[in-house]
Amino acid sequence: MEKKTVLVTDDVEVNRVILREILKDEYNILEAADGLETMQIIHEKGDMISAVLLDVIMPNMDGFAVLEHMGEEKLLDRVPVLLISADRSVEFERDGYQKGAFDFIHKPFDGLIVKARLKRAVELYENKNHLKEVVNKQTELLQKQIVQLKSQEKQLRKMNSNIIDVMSSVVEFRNLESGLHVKRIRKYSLALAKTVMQNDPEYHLTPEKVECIGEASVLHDVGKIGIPDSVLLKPGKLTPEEFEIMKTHTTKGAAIIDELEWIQGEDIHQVSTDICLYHHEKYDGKGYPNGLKGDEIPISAQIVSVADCFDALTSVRCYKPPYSTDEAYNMIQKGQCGAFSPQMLKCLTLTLPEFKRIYEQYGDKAQ
Amino acid sequence: MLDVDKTALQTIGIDYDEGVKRFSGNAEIYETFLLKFSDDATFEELDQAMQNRDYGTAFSAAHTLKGVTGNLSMNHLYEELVSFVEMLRSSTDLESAIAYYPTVKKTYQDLVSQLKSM
Repeated sequence: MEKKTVLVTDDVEVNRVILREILKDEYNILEAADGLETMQIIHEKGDMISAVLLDVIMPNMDGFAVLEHMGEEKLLDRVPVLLISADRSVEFERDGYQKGAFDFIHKPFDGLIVKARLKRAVELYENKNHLKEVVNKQTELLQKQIVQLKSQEKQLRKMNSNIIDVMSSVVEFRNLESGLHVKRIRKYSLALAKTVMQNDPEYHLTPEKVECIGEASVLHDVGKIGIPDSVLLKPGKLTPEEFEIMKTHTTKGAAIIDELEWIQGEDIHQVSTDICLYHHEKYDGKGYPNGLKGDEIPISAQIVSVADCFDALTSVRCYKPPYSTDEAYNMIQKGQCGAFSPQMLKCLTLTLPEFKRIYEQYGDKAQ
Repeated sequence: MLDVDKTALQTIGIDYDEGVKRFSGNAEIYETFLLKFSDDATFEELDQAMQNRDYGTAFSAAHTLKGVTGNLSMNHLYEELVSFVEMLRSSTDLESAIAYYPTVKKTYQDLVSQLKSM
């Protein structure tokens, strides 16, 4: 293994000679007689130097000044400096350490001790510097990986989004619903969910959950694909038996969701299921399929329920013209579309301006 | 000077074996420096400074000398210099330093004249 290089600085020749004799078998020795020479050598050969043995009392530039210079040039992080001194006073040592010295070597020299201290210093710094390098490389690598992971995550989300879009397109097509209806439901649900997150912390909504609800809302009627045409496309009022069949679009929807293999995140699976199953449940328990009451109904379903109601009222139907947004709002508040929770009604009030904007932009009449 | 008179050196307070050991067993180099010691100008500096009552310079010189004598195992002179340096360090003890100086000077001069004769 190559010998490491050590810089020995002392204005007294005897001292340099002794140190050279002690160290020459194990190290390459560079010598300097004062601070200026020391700095010169450091500037020329700094990269090669594994340690500096530095006398303090020297003419032209003393050891402390050298330390200060090295500190300013950020060299003390990389190169250990062992101060040589015949002075054992506490103030002196404190001064040395404060200025960045790594260790002290006392005169008169003891060869074994000098070698031992030097070895420790050199090895420690070697490890430290090597470790620093390793950590830097690792960090670089990790950062690259993070970028990759983020991009992958984005792609996965997109894929999920695409699945949902495909599904909802199928439903729309079958159901004679317009593409705008799907867009509106998504936007209404998203807007309402945001309001709930901001005003009702007891539902524990996060921005991620809000986005999830927005995405999944689009699938609320996917179950209709399992309803026969005779019922689904009947222009008139449904008979009680036909209505029972229609009601099953909730459970059928959940079954379809179950069949899908979601690529990432159980969240969206659960939320989609909840929405499909329960978007016709009512706060007073008079909804279907299970007659859930109050907050037994998952918040995602409650939200989509309001959105669905609002959209149905403000849209053209074969059996009615569209209501205005204000009329629809009032009807919902009065419970004319079934009971909603007071929190939902409050959030609807807060979100109404946004609902109106959405309606302006994407309403049926905009077509 | 390989058949050096260790006992002679001992009388002036030099521990030859210890010195060689410090020079990693290189007796030749140790002896060279022992002999060179008489040419060393540091004591001159110290002497001048004491005469001029420049105790700052005296302290530096004494300190340097202390280091050299220690490294050369000139233990007797070294010990005296240790005490002397401490006296000079505290500006309140200058009286003692001035009083002690002649002792140090004598030890030095005895040592140098003995070395010159070897």
